[in-house]
Amino acid sequence: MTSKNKNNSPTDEQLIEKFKEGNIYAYNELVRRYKDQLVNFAYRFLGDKDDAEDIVQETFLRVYKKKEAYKSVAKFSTWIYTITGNLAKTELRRRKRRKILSLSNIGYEDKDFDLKDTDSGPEELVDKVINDKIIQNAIQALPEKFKEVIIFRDIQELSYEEISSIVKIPLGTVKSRVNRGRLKLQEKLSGYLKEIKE
Amino acid sequence: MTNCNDFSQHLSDYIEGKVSRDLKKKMDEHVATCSSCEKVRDDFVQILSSLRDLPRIDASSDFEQKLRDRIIGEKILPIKSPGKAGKEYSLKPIIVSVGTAAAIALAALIININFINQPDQQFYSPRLQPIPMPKLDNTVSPSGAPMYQSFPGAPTTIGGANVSYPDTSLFNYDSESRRRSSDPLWKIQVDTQSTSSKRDR
Repeated sequence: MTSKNKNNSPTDEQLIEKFKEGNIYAYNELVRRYKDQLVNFAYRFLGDKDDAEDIVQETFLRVYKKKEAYKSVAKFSTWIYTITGNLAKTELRRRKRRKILSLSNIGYEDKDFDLKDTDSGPEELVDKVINDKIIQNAIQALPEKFKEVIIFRDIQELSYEEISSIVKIPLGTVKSRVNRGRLKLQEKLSGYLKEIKE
Repeated sequence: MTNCNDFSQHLSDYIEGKVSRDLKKKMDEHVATCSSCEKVRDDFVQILSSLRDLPRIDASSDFEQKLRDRIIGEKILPIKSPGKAGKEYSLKPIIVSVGTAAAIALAALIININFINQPDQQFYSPRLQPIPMPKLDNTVSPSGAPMYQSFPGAPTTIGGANVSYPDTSLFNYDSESRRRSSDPLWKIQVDTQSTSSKRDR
């Protein structure tokens, strides 16, 4: 998806090989190609712009330091999405641990995954356009394994095959997870969608 | 005919047009008679559309500059914890080197302090005794040359010649003179000259 061959420009795989040979311009080009889509992915996964940028910075730093770990049998996009995805999941687990620790001290239930949007009423959902914040909250509320594939498929628009390579699960499992993730989103958003229709 | 479970199980493929013609016909028939599944299908389409229409969140304008700074910083300030990834940046070798250097410096300082506290003669090697040198006096010799103070044990006259205020010319001793005597340098020429003059007499 992300390898570029238009206008004879080098592919991602050619660029990473050039970078391995010491060409820093090839690295800079890869950063330019991927920084926005990776930040968007990490933002949708974590729900925080600063955290998303930190994750993507760390991703490119790892690419810089561990370029030799890239094997040309895989697509570069698969490799870099795997790094970002793993870092984002680690960050999410770190947050959950921290939240559980802090909430356990005061006896509250962990309501992190409840869909709450007290600021937005139905009147704000104009002309069947679902509010970005509501959608983002619904994505955040998904269990991790569904959230990951939904973002890859429905926001980043990756192929099922590429998602399968990134997440390292069989193609059939990817399709099944995407379908179940969408059904969970539909359950969470059906109330808001009903308001829109009426 | 399909049921609601089957319908929801294949819903994504159905919407993406990836089901077989037979399955599509069955699902079309089901959704026409099941209002619940019809709603789910409509919601699905709307949700997918909304997900794809979400605004793109781009990297900040200074993203690349920050990345460059981090890359430079990681190289200059090796602060990574030890481990496979951070091994080359480990602080351990630096700490060991600094520690060794500090220990050597401390040892050198202690030795030096002890050395300084010893009497003066300890500064000299036993095999290289200090050569007594004349010191400048405040007075001036008759020839106008500076007078030299004597030092304990130094002769004031040698062979009848006064050596308490030798002219600087007397210091022109040569290697032959040095070989013949280990006495202080100003003695040599005066001594040999006065001795030879006595013999002549």
